[in-house]
Amino acid sequence: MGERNITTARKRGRKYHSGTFLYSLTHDGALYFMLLFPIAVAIIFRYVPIGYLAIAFKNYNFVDGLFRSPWVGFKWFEKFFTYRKFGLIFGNTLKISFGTLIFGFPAPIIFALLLNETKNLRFKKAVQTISYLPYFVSTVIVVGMMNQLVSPTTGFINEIIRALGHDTVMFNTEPQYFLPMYIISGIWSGLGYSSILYLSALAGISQELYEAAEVDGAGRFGKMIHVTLPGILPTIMILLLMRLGTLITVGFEKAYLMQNDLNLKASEIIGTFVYKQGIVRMDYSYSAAVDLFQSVVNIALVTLFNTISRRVADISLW
Amino acid sequence: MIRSKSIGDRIFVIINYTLLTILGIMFFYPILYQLAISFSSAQAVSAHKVFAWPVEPTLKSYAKVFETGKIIRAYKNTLYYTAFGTVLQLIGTTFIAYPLSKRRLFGRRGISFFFYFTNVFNGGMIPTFLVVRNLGMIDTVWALVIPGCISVYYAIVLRTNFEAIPSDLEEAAKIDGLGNWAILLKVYVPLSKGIYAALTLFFAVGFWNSYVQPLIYLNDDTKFTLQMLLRNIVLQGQMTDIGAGASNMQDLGTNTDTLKAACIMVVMLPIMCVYPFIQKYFVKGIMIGAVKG
Repeated sequence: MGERNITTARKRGRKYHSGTFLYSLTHDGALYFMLLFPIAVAIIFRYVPIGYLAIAFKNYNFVDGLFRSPWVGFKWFEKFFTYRKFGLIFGNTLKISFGTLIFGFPAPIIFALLLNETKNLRFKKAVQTISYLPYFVSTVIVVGMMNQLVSPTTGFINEIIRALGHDTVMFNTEPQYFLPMYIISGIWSGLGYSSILYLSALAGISQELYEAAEVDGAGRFGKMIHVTLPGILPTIMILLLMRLGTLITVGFEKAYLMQNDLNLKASEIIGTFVYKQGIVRMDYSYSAAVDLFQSVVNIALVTLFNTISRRVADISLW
Repeated sequence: MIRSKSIGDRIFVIINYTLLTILGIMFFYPILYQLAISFSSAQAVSAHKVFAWPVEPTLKSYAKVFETGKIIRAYKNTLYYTAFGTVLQLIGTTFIAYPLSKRRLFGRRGISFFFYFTNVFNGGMIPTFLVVRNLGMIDTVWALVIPGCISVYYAIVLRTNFEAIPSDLEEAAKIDGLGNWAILLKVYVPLSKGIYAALTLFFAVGFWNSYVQPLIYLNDDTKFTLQMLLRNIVLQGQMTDIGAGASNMQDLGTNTDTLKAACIMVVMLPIMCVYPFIQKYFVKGIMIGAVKG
């Protein structure tokens, strides 16, 4: 390829050719210069914060800063585990994580499969295009629209419920509806976007396989089970493993926006707790410890699933 | 190839098309609903007459939205953050992707891992906040724009794109005497117009819609973004930001629902304008990312 051009020049007696640092530095100094900016940002805003995680084991205050604040060991972790709402918060986090995984992960796959079964290209493209729209709607707006739809007074859904003869349902304020609303709104937002990858994988399945299945007497569902699903299985597995990487680190944004004083029993998760304790109450050490706890549990779970996946199906992240 | 259509098959097709049509409607109905409400009178809305189109159309809600200058100010702030952030993120992503796309670069694998690791493990909300705070960046645009300007995922997408460009072009350019900067700007970037269009869209929408960063890093309410204002109005019913006290609402033909809907539509406007372009670049953008996987 022309890159293995060995030019030996005497540069302080060292071999000087393509592939050594000196060569790169002098010939492509511009490239390293370009990298300086992102590397600096990464160090300051990604790696340095990792160092700051130490405050989870200290009693951080601004005067002493990161290095001189006193160590307190596992005090904050003990405090969190003995907190009377610990079970509630941790439980809600788990419920939301697994709920969105169990319902939210298969939904785009099913949608892609159904869409794949339609033969009318214009219909297919139209539905696809519309399905991306929710993805670009901000979380604030999604929650706002959802609140409006389920509103006890002017909401469309309660209209229908009342027309059917039942009492108004207080979706917003009763804790038991929090999880379903969270999951359903999540599916609404992400279905179209997530389905793109599956649709492209589906398009890549060879037509010959379908024809062979047809010859063997497979009907629509037979083809789906024996040709389609195996065809997109690698895509599914990869996306599943990537999805598992953030299994229980549920982002706090939507839960926080959906939260109100009345549904806290279901809406308080580790993420919202960390925000309120840390940013609002400025209890930095404690909240950092709670956040760290969540990350550690997450890594443990991912490792577990990865090991299982490797043993059972020989597919894994590492 | 003979296709015998059994009754069961026909039923499936009918159900499938129906289901997908219903889904399609559900994707845009909520937005349509808000649009209708925003242009309707308060009386029509409270009387449950509004379903998909405005009833007793009026612009009063929109007039109210802009009455105090707050929405306009938030608009200016958000436009500023979005433009600045998008440009910076494009530059940052390019500066990661381009050098790492060159196989001859010494340390390429190590540097790649250095960036990739930030996706695997990071400090979390509190440590990052503390770093930003200790750097004195609270209440500045920098806090919103710098930490996010290196997106590893999109850098990989862009790098894959650069790697796919034939190296003969670079060699030809070198023979013409062009240096690395010129090669990047005059050869690689122009050839990647599609990807850059897609990236610009993703980044811009990301900034426009972001809520968490402004929430954490902005305390001065003159600097608030649209999403923050929107949250106060739509989710917490604070109507004071749009100058509508409870007392004078009914006789002006507006109520909380119409005002909230108008606010939502005002904030969504750029997204709706950009959406047609999304169809063109969006799918390609995701696909490139998929090829890498």
